[in-house]
Amino acid sequence: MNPLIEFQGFNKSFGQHQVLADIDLKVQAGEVVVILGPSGCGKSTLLRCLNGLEEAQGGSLRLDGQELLGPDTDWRQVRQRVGMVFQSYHLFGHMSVIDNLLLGPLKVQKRERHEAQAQAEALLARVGLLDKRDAFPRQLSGGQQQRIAIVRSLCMNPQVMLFDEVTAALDPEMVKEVLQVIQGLAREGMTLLIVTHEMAFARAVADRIVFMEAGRILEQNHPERFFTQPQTARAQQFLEKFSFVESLPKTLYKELS
Amino acid sequence: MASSGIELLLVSLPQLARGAGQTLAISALGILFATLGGMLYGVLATLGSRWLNILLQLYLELFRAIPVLVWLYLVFFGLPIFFGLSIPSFWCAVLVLGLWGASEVGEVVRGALQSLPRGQREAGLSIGLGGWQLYGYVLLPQALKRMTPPTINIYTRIIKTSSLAVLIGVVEVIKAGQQIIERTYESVMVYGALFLFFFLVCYPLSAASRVLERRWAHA
Amino acid sequence: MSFDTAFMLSTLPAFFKAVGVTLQVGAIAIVTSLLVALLNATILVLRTPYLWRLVKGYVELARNTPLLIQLFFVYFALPSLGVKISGFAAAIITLTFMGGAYLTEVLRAGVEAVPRAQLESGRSIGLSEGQLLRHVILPQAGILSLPALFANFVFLLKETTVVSAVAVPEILYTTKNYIALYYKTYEMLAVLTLLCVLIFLPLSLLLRYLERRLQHGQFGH
Repeated sequence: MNPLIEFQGFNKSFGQHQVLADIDLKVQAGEVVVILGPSGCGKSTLLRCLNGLEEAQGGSLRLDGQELLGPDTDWRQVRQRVGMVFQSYHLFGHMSVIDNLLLGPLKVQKRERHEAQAQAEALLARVGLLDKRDAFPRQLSGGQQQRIAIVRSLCMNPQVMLFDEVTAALDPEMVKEVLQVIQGLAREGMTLLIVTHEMAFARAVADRIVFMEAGRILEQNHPERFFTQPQTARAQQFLEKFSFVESLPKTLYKELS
Repeated sequence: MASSGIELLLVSLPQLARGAGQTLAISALGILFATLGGMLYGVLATLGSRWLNILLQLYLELFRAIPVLVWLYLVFFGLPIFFGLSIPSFWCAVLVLGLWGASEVGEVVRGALQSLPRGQREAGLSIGLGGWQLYGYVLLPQALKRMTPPTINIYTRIIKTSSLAVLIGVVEVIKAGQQIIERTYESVMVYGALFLFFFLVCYPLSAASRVLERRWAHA
Repeated sequence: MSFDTAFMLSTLPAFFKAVGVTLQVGAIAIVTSLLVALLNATILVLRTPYLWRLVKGYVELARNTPLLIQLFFVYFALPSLGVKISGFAAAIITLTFMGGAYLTEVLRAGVEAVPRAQLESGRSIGLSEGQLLRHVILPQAGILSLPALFANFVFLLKETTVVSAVAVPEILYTTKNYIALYYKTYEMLAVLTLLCVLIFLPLSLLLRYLERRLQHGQFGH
């Protein structure tokens, strides 16, 4: 089966500094891939290359067979198929929640208002926030805003969803509600690329773990095998830093997964 | 001494009013063009094109280095010579005020747009918004509150600077006042009236700008 | 388009003098405005009854009326009250009137920009209000005001062109004069433009540099 997303020999630099080097990565439709690695290893940049927020210098990147690294790529079209959720959610503060959700469908995709609105409200209900339909972002908590940010991307009917450290800016008690939404998407079979520091979550939701360091992929593996028997020394060192979480009593674990 | 100064002044009021109308017309048109031009400048300056930014900076520095009155003379005397165009001094004034005002408003708009979190632009792009849509639906509406108080201050300066148009021969309120003085010799009253006229137009704007700035002060 | 460069060069001595007048008028106006502003700012900070309201009123009046009107009032209207003033004097008085108001705003904003925490820590080590003013507020307000002060100095210098309207022989008046006398419009405008760029562009760049060094926004202008 042809992969939905394929990076081949992918390279990106910021000036002199090479941020991504020789990335080879295939993602099948319906797969949930979690990218782990130390700060600065390029995982966010990799995600941002997939929807054109960053420009690449070399190699190949295919989405559903279509090559994206060329001068003719219509990134507006690509971005409707690749949704992205950011660490700081970035909801449009001057618009109500429902207007945030409808902006893309109505103005970019030119869909019918009642159809788009029905979808937006259904998705809002699914994340439990239908009553916040007419509220403004500043009236909502971080967790609520992040869930709405996810819905905003979903309203565009993307093939792929990218999550860039989406719980890193949240107060701990709000992390769960967001992770539950992502888990729901995974169960429905949506293709997800997730960058996160939430190790337990990664272990529970991923179909595959991709471990990166200094712009390269060092290891790819099934989550259970990655966490219990990492194959590279660097992965092992990385996981040891998180073993503090491992040695916590199991009851805490149950709440997260 | 014939009739009292005030009586003569009252008779001259229509003439003064006509002059005031010209002043306000020059100011209003200048403000209109400055606003439109400034918005364009601000958007162009945040597109990230190095050549555009150099061009815009050149334009800005040109209007900062050369005082507005000098610009008025350059346009008034120079246009006929350089381009064979002879435009009435009214429109010379409007042109200069518009271009100068646009550079000032443009810098305000640019600053306001740049003060928005970068993520707003990225979030907008991520849902597929194109250039005009991004600015029209996301960036400019949010920058509006930050832009407004300084822009109102620039409007005040445009109105005050429009007074310089008398020096290139426009029959606006100062000229009207001077014509009245020639007849009535009431220079103190007339110039006093001119003082009052400009104050009554500009002070409400300054006050409004301050009120809005306080009300919309962001963290 | 032919350039009568010979003529241009022959006018250079006159323009040299004109630049001198521009700088002279500008410098005097800057100094007197600053003195007025210091006095006003002190009144505002100390909140002297009545005087404080007077200063506020003066600032509003001077900032919301055009320089040209102020100039014409002093030069044309005052003589009818028996006070005859030369163009030069009228220019200085008017520029001081306007400049003083702008600079007062700058200094006031500078004082208000001194962080509250500074006042609190000063008081808590026992400084009197007077000592607080002298050792904590004014020095810091001074530094915070520097970019805006400098910006307003440049602004005052640029406004000297307006006093050409009362026959003060600065650069714009000299240009107009020569155009009227010799009809060499093109050449004279070129000289004027060049002079403006030579004088004001470096100042503008210097101001930009100063702002970046001190990293503060602009007030007052």
